[in-house]
Amino acid sequence: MVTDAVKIEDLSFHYHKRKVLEEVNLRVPHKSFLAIIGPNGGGKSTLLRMILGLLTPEEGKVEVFGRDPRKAREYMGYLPQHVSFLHDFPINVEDTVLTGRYHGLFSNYTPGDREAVHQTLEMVDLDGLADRQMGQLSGGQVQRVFLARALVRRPKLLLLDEPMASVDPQMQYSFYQLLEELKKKMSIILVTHDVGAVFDQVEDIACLNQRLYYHGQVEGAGEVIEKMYGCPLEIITHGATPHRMLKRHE
Amino acid sequence: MQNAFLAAILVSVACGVVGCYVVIKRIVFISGGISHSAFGGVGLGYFLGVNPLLAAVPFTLLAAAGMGLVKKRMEVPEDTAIGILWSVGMALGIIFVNLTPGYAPDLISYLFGNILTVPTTDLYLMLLLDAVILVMVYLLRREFLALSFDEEFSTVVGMPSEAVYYLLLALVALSVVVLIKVVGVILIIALLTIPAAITREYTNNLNQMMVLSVVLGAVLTTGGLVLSYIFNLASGATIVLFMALAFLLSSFIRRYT
Repeated sequence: MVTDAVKIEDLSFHYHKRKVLEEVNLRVPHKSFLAIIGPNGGGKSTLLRMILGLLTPEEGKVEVFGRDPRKAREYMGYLPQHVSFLHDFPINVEDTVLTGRYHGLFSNYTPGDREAVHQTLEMVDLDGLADRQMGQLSGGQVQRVFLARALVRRPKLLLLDEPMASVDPQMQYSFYQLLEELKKKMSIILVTHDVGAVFDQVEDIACLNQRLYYHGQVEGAGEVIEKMYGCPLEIITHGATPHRMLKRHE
Repeated sequence: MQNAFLAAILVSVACGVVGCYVVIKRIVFISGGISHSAFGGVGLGYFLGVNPLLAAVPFTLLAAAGMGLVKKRMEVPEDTAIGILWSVGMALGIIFVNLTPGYAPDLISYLFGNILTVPTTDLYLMLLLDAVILVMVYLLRREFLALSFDEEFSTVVGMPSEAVYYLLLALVALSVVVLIKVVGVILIIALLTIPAAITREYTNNLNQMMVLSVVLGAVLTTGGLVLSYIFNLASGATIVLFMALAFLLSSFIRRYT
């Protein structure tokens, strides 16, 4: 039997007495590409943090490849939404990506780790910038470094939290092209409130606003999204890719 | 005077190395809290009749753990909690001194520092603590760097980041004890931040930053010591003001050159 990448059962969670997630059930088969969409404050990032094992469920269960998330971290690569660091923080691109190869307390990084770093930097078109300081990079380059840091672990499950937040349209295009390649090798879960950007890129979509309103093929999600956001899809998706959405609606 | 110069070198190691983490991890306020609460340990030393510096070691470590715990586990805003623990530590120190019969000699030197009165036994303790700090930093250099840069990601890759954070605060606590006799609990935070804040402007490599901070700390501490001797001023305060002047000068040079 093939184990699901992620299995969530009856998950509920409160944050400062406010209900954030309510009885969420979700299965993500291995090597699938799922976008979790929903309005801001709808619990997307909380759900992602549960999958990462950074938060513990109050009720229900989360499993990653059949294990407690905290015991499955070797399988996970993670691209956070924001990393706030000092512009002159003394770290370069290579050392930043190298942290993704962490082996445990007192363990040195090996030459193999550095080789993996360079291969991954090549994959995200950052070869040649290994010695560059993080503070000297553009927003798009920083995002690619963090993607490399997530990928350098050779994860089986890649978790992306609003990856397009600080990225220009050109970079978005190449980013999705890369994800297209990656989804052959791993499961991908992408969290975003930018519905338009994901519609043409993903196979499955999960609509989350405290509860899971929909999980299935992208094609069937339009009505649910409109209900969830409380406005027509054209308005929600107005932005980087409105033309695609309008066409879909005609 | 010889002890004073040796003390200046020993504090430079602690403030140069640990100060880099204080600055890049942005834990200046919590470090200020730890340094002030160390006065509770000094008071406890007087009360128990043991070397106040020795008593400050476990007390400051506990204070650091308490502050870390509040930051990580409590739902109280971090700055509020640190402000409370900061004052509680100092208040405990005053009560312990009150409860101690007789006069408390040198008390003022623990508050404002007096590098000229550091006894040889304290130098040995400072040397030992410096050695512990260097060994910890060497063994956990990867963890401290990753934690300072992105704590959440460090957890995701399997690092026991909360434990590493406590160890980092323990390093700050040990550095505070090393620095007490030189500048006093009230002025310690200047030594933990200024040398590292200056060198951060001149290098992009953490190891280089540490070495430069140690050297700069030694130069500025001994420079301040000499100035205090020439002008007959309080040594701790003179060292801090001399460092602050160097920081201003360095910022000016970086901006206009």
